[in-house]
Amino acid sequence: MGSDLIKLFNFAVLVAIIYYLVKKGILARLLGMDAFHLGPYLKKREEAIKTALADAENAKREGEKKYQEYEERLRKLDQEIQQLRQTLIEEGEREKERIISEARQIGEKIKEQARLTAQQELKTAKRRVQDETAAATIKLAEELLKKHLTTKDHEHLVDDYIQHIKRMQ
Amino acid sequence: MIARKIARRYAKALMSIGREDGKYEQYGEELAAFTSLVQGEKRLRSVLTNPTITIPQRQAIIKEITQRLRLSPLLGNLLHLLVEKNRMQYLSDIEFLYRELADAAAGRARVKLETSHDLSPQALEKLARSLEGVAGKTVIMEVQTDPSLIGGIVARMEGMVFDGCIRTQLERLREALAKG
Repeated sequence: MGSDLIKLFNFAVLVAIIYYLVKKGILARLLGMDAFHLGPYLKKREEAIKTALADAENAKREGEKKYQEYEERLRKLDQEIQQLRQTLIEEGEREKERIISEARQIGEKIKEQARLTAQQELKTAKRRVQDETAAATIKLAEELLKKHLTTKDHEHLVDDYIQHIKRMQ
Repeated sequence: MIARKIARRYAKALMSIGREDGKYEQYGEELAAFTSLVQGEKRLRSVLTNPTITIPQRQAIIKEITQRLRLSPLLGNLLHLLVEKNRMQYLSDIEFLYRELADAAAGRARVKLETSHDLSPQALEKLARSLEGVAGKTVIMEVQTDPSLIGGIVARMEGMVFDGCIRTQLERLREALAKG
C-alpha cells in the first residue's frame, strides 16, 4: 500500500515536471522545436498514428480475405488431390498393362531368337562334326592308300583311266 | 597383255614365212633351242636386254651364237631384229606362242601329264593313242611325276582336264561325306 502511494506521488511529480517543461517551452527546445511548432507536430503524429491504424485495419481485412481464399483453395486442393490420385492410379494401371504387354512381346522375341540361335548352333555343330568326320575318314583312307597302293594297283588305275578316255572318243 | 600382243606379232610373222618355205618346224626347234640357252644363261640374258650395251655389240653376240648353234639365217635375222627393236625380253613369249602356232599347223596337241608313279613306255604309248583319239590330233606328252596324287593320272590338253587321280577322288568323297 505504501509502495503504491510512493508510485502515485512519483507520477504526480513527473506530470508536474512535464507540465512545467511544456509550459515554459523547455521540452520544445529539448526536442529541437519551438513551442509554436509543438502543436502541429503532435497533430501530425496523431494523423500518422491514425493512418497506421487504418493501414493495420486494411492489412487485417486483406489477411482475412487471403485466409478465406486459402481456406477455399485448401478445400479444393483436397478434391484435386483426390482426382490426381485417381488419375495416377488409372495411368499406373495402364502403364502396368503396357509394360507387361511389352515384356511379354520382348520375352517372345527372346524365346524365338534363342530358338533360332540354338537351331543355328546345332546346325553348325552338326556340320562341323560331319566335316571333321569326313576329313578324318579321308585322311585315314589316304594314309592307307599311300601305304598299300602297289605299282600293280597303279597299273590297274592307268588301264581304267585309258578305258575311260577311250569311251570319250 | 601388251607383251603378249607384241610377242604374237613376231611369232605370227615367223610362222607365216615358215609355212611359205615349209621350214616352220625347223624354226620352232631352233627358236626353242635359242630360248632355252638364254633362259639358262642369266648373264647372257642380262647382256641381250641391257640398254647400256650398244645394239651393234649385242647383235655381234647374237651373230656369234647363231653361227655356233648353226641357226638358219631367217632366225638369225629375227634375233637381230629383236635386239634392234629392244624386244629381246619377249623372247620366251614369242617361243611359246610360236609353238602353239606350229602345233596348230601340224595338227598337234600338247599334253601335260602328271602321274603319281612312273609309267612304262607301253602305258605312255597307250595313253598317247587314247588322248589322240579324243583330240583328233597327234599328241606330244610332257610327263611329270607328282606323288601327292597318291595314285592315278591327270592329263591337261587344250584347256581340258582329264582327272583320274586318287587325290581328287578322295576330295570328292570328303565333300560328299561332309554334305551327309
